[in-house]
Amino acid sequence: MTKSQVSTSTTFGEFFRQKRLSLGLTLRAFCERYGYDPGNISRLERNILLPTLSDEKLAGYASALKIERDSEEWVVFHDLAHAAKGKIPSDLRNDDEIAKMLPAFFRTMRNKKIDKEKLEKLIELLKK
Amino acid sequence: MKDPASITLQYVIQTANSFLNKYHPTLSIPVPIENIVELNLNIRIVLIRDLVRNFGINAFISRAFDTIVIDDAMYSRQPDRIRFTITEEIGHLFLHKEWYKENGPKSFEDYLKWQEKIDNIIYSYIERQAKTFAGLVLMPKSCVNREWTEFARNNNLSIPCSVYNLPDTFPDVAQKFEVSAESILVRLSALKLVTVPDGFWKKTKR
Repeated sequence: MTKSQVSTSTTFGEFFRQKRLSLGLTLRAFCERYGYDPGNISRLERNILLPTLSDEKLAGYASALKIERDSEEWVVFHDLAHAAKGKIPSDLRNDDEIAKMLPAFFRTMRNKKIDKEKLEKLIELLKK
Repeated sequence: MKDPASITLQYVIQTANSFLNKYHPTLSIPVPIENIVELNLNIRIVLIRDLVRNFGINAFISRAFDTIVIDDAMYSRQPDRIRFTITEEIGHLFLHKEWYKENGPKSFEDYLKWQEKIDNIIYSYIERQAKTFAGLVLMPKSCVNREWTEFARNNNLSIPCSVYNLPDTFPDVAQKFEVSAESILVRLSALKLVTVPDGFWKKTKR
């Protein structure tokens, strides 16, 4: 993805995920290959976890995503990481987004349906 | 759009076969379900913490049918179980999405009321159909027949054989499909390759 291909609404997380998918790697395959924690990469891709600004770590991600040093993609990748740092993660998710992520079907192993209190708890979890 | 109450086993089999024909025609095993989900169907895998602890569920597909949310720890520690769970969620996508879009909650406000009022019987159909779909997809009939014939030959087993005569190496077959021993046993039983007496599942679940 070059700078011109990245829309202004693209986030670091979405850019990361698209690059990973373009390499034909599932979340599991990517994390196994490069030794990352899948939970952290998932949160990074959802912009729940802010990207590090450490050059070394960003370079590690870039290398895993096959982004060439000093290429246009490299610049975009770093720009998005810096832009993400200025945002508050919870601001990135509005109620509509969370509502779409709620389970289509919800029944627990104990056969209990969801109540309001549980729903609120689930919404909090989806933000993390 | 099919009402879950009117979905037959034959329809679930057809849907699973169409799915395999389209997304994994080579029928190699293990079926690369995570690749299909993320790379072909472009469904987002999202891991969150404490889903099991707080809600007693491993995973769920979102209302928009574009995301599968999975318990973080389970994803890492029990990949075979998660493969089955993911495929169940895909079963909802292929079997129930249209019905849900038509009959499911239309707004966030409506969501709780809908969950409350949905008939338990319909819910049990939905869950069972998704589970069946997962078994059919992860353990395609021709692959199970082939693998079981070889296993039976190597272990001097008759076909069908009783579940009580299975050797200790039986889970090796499950491993080839990257599913649990229980899942493959259910499939073998359905294909009449292994006989399971009445009440067997109740005994093993206790």
